[in-house]
Amino acid sequence: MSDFLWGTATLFGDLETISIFVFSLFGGMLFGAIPGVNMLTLGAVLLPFTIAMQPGHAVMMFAIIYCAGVFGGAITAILFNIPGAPENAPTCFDGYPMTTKGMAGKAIGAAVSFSALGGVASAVIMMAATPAIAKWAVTAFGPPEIFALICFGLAVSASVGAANLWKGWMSIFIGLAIAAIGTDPVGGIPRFNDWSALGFSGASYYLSAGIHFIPVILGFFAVSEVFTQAQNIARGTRQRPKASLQLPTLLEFWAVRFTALRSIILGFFAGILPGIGSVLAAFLGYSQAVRWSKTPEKFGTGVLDGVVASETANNAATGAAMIPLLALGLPGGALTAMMLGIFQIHGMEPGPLIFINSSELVWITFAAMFWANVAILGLGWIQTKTVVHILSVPFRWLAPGILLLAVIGAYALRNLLIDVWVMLIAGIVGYFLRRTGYSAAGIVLGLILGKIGESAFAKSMQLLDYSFIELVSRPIAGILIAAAVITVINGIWREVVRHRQRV
Amino acid sequence: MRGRIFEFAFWAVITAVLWWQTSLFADETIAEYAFGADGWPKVVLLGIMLGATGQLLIGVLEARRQQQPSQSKVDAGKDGKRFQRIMIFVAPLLYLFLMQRLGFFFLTPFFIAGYLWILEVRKWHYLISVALAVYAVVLLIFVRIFYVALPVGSWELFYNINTAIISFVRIGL
Repeated sequence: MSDFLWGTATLFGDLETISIFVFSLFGGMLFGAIPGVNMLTLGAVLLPFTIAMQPGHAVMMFAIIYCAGVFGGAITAILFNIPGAPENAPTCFDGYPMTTKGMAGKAIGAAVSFSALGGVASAVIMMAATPAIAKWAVTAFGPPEIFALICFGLAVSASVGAANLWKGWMSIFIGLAIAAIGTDPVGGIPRFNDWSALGFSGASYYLSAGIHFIPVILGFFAVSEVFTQAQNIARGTRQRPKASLQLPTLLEFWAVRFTALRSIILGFFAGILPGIGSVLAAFLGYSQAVRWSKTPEKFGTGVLDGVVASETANNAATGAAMIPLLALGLPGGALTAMMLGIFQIHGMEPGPLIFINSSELVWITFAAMFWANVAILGLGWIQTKTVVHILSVPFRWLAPGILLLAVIGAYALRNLLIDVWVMLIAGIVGYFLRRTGYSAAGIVLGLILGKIGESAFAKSMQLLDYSFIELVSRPIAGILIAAAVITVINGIWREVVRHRQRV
Repeated sequence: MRGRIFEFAFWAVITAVLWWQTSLFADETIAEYAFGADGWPKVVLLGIMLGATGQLLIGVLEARRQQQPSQSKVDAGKDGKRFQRIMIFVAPLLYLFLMQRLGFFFLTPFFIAGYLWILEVRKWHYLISVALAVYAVVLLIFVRIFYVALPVGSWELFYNINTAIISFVRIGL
């Protein structure tokens, strides 16, 4: 506690530190909210300038950008179905339907509050238990456990947003198939890149590199939504969402307490695991909220639990991601890898000794993350009351702007026009798949987790000498796979019962 | 029922083509990995076929019990509406096709105005003012503040126009 108070006093006792805190907070929120740029863009731009900064200030700046950036993407996800960052994609599932129902204020209010809650809780756990948790998580979670965790996440998500279980599973497998495009994770052999047998010229370098999930996410969510609304305008059936400022009530907050608690645990846990990070955290949080809900069929239609689950989990992962970085020197994602770069620039080595040799740096970072999340709560509520008014602008005027943002977002990723083609094609395909009952959420989840899942599976098989028995004999992996199987059987049973009731 | 059969056939063809492609080009032995490069994609393709089969079976069962929900008639609408509904998809594709040649900066104001027109904005002052406002905001944020590189076109005349616009937006920097 005294370390935390010391960190707080240092943070707010110096004008330079306060300036960095405020700049990072606003910068992270802004870059998180604008599709096409994200917190990584800001991090990459700022990284060279950290050479001239004190290492404590530089690490603190990146930690705040991380917290604020993950929150910022929720606003566009809720208002326009455009996730500012991949970790905000599950927020679209219920956040945007809430907007169309005239409940944007409630959705953004919940996102603000629970982002802050997730972040604060994560910061507190991080301060209390960094070395112990890091050691346990990194040793207990090998490739078999990560593969089992992904299986479980996919099994639970099969029922999200699809017309029936079969379409839910197909959506996930379509996502996994798109993720399989590109080189395989073991031998580096390219897949689905050569169509010369069908008369196309040679192998495609683009397909060899694999399809990036950001253009696909922009296509499935933003572009297909513009097409859907534009078609409704053409048919004369579009209903304009109300720019409601109604915020969540205390009773509603109380009703989602278990969802929030579950998401904090899941988000924190996923955040610790190197390479998994806040994207999986958000999807896991959302899928578990569906799994434990008494009314899972309502998810995807605009329920508060969906927004709460996703936003709590992705922010809970931010503090957790600092644990393996600081305690073991293992970055969990791109932004934490940049932080590792800062340590190297300043000739420091993260690891258990950092808590002894550079405790000043550690505690100012911890304190800054804690207060950044508290500040998100205050700033976010102000943002809620202002940003909702964008909905008063007619959709006809917004539609070209949304398309432009998506085009810029897809192009700026790698400066490739083909990424924009992929996005538009995904938008058209997404429009028709959604109309026919497939789940955009399932496809995106399969796409994001496919590469990690295949890599973890290949490593597990090599590690366990291709024995599936050994895979399920490992305690954590066994429990997760058993839970996945039970979820699948339960889903099929529910589908059969529903079918019987229908006929 | 016909729709379900068509859907099944669609996925069957897609799966078969992908299976054939991966067998042809990715069926290589990897010394340290027994399942090879095509093992995972083939399992995924089997999953798609399993889902498609399940869908078809549900369709057959529903058809047998004659409980299939009636297909709602698609309102084709007037020719003008049909053109509008097609252009909603085609206009962004056309924009992208031309962007490579004419550049983002030259083409974008025309695209914005065109898409507004497709979305039934007919008043000229709205068309022009909204197009210019959106264009100005995009230039300000992405070109002047964030320095995002965007396509400048491959045809010389348009390349020069695009770079001139960028220079103009960045005056004073």
